Amino acid sequence: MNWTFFHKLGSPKWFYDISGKWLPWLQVISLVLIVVALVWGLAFSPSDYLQGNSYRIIFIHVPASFLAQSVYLMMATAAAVTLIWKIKLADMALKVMAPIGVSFCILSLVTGAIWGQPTWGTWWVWDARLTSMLILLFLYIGIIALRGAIHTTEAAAKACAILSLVGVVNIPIIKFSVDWWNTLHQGATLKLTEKPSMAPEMLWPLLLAIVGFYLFFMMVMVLRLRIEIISRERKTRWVKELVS
Amino acid sequence: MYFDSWSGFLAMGGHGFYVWSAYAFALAVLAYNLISPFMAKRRVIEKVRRQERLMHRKVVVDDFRVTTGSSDNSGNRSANPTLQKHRPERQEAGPESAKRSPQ
Amino acid sequence: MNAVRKQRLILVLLLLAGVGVAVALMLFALRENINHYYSPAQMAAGDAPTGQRMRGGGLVVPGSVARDTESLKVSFRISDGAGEVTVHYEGILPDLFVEGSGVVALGTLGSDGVFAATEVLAKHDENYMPPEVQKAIDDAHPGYPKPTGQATVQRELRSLQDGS
Repeated sequence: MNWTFFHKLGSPKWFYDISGKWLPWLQVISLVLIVVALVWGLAFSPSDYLQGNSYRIIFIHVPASFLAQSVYLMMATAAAVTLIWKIKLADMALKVMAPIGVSFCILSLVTGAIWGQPTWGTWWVWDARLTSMLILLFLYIGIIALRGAIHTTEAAAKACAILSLVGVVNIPIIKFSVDWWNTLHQGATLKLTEKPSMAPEMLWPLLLAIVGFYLFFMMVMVLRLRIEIISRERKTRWVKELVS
Repeated sequence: MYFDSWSGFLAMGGHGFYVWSAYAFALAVLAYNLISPFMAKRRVIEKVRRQERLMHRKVVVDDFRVTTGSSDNSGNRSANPTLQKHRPERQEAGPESAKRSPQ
Repeated sequence: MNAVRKQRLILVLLLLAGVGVAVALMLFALRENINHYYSPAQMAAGDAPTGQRMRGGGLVVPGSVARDTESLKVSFRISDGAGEVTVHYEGILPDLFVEGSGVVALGTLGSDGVFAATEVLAKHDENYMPPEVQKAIDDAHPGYPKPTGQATVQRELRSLQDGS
């Protein structure tokens, strides 16, 4: 198999050029989707038969939780690429994704707590789903702290990549915790194999919000990655020309 | 619109505090994610420019000593190196970076 | 892909497999302790520890809720279809606490088989629907326990019973 395309893909300059074209689209589409989805979910969706209006927190909680886990999976993928192919761009991606992932992980935990109070009667329980999500938060913080603690870029890249890879076992635990154990947290509403257990007039804004949040993540990641490229490639001629 | 009135929308059937605080926090997280790259960009560009200026001065010194010039002194535009003080450059750096930051 | 990269790929896979196996073993060893609650059938069968703090979870048996008129004391039975246990509690119940709904109670199981709860949490399932839809389902299946959405909690508890 010919892997040259893979290395071309990892060229920072190539990425900088192409991402500049995507950015405006990502910005407009993601923000429009989020606004439409949240206004729909807040004002136009019917209330839930059991939870009343407090269920409307789902339109943030679920997209944030999905993102917190997906971003980690992407970081683990970038970590594998960093370790195997030593592609600089992969390590830059790993670095810039961590703060975004941590923000959505916190959003997921906080909205979950706010939702838990009126529905379950408590802000927090140490059940398997909530605890594994908290571990994910600590993994994110650990990866960010590790990079801050190591000053050589090369060594930091390697250490962060290994920690990211090791932590990825937590992702299936989060996903299946509600099936494997008796948790207070309910099972998944959106399933790959079955019909979602949600009325369509609630499901549509939720799906829109999920797509909007993912695009928003991509947009923020591209923004941050471009800055990281400028910072790390500052000695190259094209960055000097770009900046001056 | 699902709600009958504006006040009903705000009250969220008694769950207003929970719903609105969750949405407010979400807004704060989205805003942080949106704003922080632009702050970082300004910082990084400033850093790269400063380093560029330092490189210039080194090049200038090298020129006086008539030693080997650095490989990429492409930025050395001025014919007279002594005129290439960094003071005027710094003046234009502020507004320029501000202009550049929104993509 | 050259030999060095292939070697690194194998190393990465080995690392993942190693950590995966270690965590799987750990979770297997802890499998009972990670459960947030015991089911009424487990309590009835004596699988749950008595006299120590634990959680019990099940569906509130319709018609079993008895509230004290003077205080916040309440007593009800929880069931998982295979067993029942009586719960005593004093305090404010969550909004979602209704007959037929899922609850998780924190407390101690006495030797008399009564679960003395200090905290009652409501467990809901993953179904979301407007009240009208729920009403339509109710009308179509009048005999169904209310609220119908909790059928999943019931199923969950039953499968737990069959599985363990």
